[in-house]
Amino acid sequence: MEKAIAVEGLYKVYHPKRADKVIAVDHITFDGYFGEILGILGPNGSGKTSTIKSIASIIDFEEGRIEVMGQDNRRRRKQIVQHIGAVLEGSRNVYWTMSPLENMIYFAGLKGMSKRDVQERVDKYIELLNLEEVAHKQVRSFSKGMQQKVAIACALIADPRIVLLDEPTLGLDVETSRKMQTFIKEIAKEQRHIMITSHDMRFIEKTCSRVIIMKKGKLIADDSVKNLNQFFRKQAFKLTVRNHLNTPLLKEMEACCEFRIESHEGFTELFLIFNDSQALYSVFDILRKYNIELLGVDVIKDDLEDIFLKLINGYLTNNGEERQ
Amino acid sequence: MRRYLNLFIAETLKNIAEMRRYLFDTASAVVIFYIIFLAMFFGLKGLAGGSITGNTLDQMIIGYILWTFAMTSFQSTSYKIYEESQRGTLEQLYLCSLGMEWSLIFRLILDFVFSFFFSSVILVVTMLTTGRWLSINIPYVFGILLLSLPALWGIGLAFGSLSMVFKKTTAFMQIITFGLIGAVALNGYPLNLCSFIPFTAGATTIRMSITGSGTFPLSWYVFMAAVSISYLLAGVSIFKIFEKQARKRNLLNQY
Repeated sequence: MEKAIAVEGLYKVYHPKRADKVIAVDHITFDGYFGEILGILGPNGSGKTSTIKSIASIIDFEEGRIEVMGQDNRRRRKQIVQHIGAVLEGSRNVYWTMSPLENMIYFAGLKGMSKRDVQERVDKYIELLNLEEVAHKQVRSFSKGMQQKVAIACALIADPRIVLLDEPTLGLDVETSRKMQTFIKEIAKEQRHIMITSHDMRFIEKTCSRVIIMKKGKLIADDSVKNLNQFFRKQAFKLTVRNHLNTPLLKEMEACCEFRIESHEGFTELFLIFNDSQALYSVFDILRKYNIELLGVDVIKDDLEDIFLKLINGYLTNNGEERQ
Repeated sequence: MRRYLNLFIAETLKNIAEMRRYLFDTASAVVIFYIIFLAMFFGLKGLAGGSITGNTLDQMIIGYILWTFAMTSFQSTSYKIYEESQRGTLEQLYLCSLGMEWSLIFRLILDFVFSFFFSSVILVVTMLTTGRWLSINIPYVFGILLLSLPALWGIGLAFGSLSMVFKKTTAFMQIITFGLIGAVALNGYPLNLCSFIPFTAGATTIRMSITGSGTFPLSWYVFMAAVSISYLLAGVSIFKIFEKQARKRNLLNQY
C-alpha cells in the first residue's frame, strides 16, 4: 500500500501556566497508508488529538518529523493542507448560520476551489448523506448527527486524500453512528487515508482496519483490528479447578504467565494471560505436579474494548512486553 | 491567482449569506447610520442656521466616515478571530491552503467594500431626504480609502494575532482606538513625520480634497500606498509570529 503519512519520533509538550509541563505525545512513530482506515484509541489525555492536530499542522511540535504524502508538514504546510480534510471540533466545525450548500461552497473556497470545481461532489454528498431536504436550511436547526454529517461533507468537499476525524461519533445516537460508519467505509474506498480518533471502541472495531492505542502520550499498540483480536484471543484463558491453590504453585505459575484468581465455594477460577500460547502447557504441567483437578478450560474471547482496557490498565503490549 | 480569486468569491458569498441571515442586524445598522447622518445634517442646521458653509458639514460627515472606517478596519480582525474561535471554526480557517491571513484580509476588504457601499447609499438617501447636497467625490474617497486602509488592516492583523495568544486584549485595543482619532485628525500633507502614521496620509488627502485645499502629485499617492502596504506586510509578519505561538500552545481552538 502507498504511504500517506509517516510520523517519526513525534514529541509534543505543553507548558501550562503555574503547572508542570505536560508531555502530550511522547516520541511516537507510525505510518498511515492510502485505502486504510486507521483508528487511534486512548483515554482522555493520551495524546490522540495532539497527534492528529500535529499531522494537520494545526499545532506545532517540539521534536520529530511528520511527512504527509512524502512532504515535510512543517516546511510544506500550505501544499499539505490542500490534501487534508479534517473535522476537529465535531459539529462546531461548520458555520451554523449557513446552509449545508453554503458551507460546502465556502470550505471549497478555503482550498482555492470554485463552486463549479466542486459541484459534482456537492451533489454527491448531499445525496449520500441524505441532506436533500435540508440543503438550503441553516445548520443551526439540525440535529447533532446532521451537523456532524455536514462537517464531514465540508471536510471532503475539496476531495482530500487524507481525512482526519477527531471523535466523529461524539454525541451521536447508535443509529446515526452506524450510518456514519457505513459512510466512512464508503469514502475510504476512494483510496484515501482516513484517521479517526475515538473513545467509541465498537465504532473503531467496526470501522477501522488498523488501530493504534495510546496511553499517556506513548504508543502501546499498533496492529490490525483482526490481529489484535486474534492475538489476545490466543492468550487469554479461564481455567476452572476444584482445589484451592497453594503458594508454591502460584509462585511457579508467576514464572510463565500473568494471572488473576477468583475463589468460589468448591472451585477456583484462574484467568490467565500468556505472552506465548505454549505457556498454557506449562500451566497444565504445574497443575498436574500439584495434583490440581482441572474442571474446565475456556478461551476468553476479547472484543476491542477488552483489549483496549487490558492495554490501558497495564497488562501487556502486543509484542509481549510487560507494562505498568 | 485563480485560487485566490476563488477564495475571495467564497468569502463574498459567505458575507452575503451571513448578512441575509442576520437581516435584523444588517437593517438596524443601516437605520442607525441613517439616523446619525440625519442628526448631523439637521443638528448642524439647527445650531448654525443658514450661516454654515457647505464645507463645514462636508468635513464633519467625511470626518465621521473616516473615523468609522478606521475603527472598524482596526477592530474587526480581532473580533473575527474571537468570533471564529467561539464558533469552533478557527482551526478550519487554519486549514485554508492559501493561509489563514488571506481569508482574514479578504474579509477585511469585503467588510470595507460593503460598508462603503451602504454608507454611500445612506449618505445619498440622507442628502435626498434633507435636500442638502454635499460635495463629496465618492469614487475618489473610495480609492483613497482603498489605498490607505491596508495600513490599519495590518495593525488589526497584528493585534488580532495577539488576541489568539493572550485572549483578552481589550484594554490595549481601547488605547489604540484613541490613537486612531489622532491618526485621522493629524495633518500628513505635505510630507512630514505624521505622514508615516498609519492612515494619516489617506485621511489628510480626503479631508483636503473635500475642502478643495490641495492637489496631489502622483508621487504622493505612491507614497501613501507604499506606507500602507508596509504596515500591512508588517502586520502579516507579526500575525505569523503569534500564529506560530498559538499553534505551539494549541490555542487555536480556545478562547
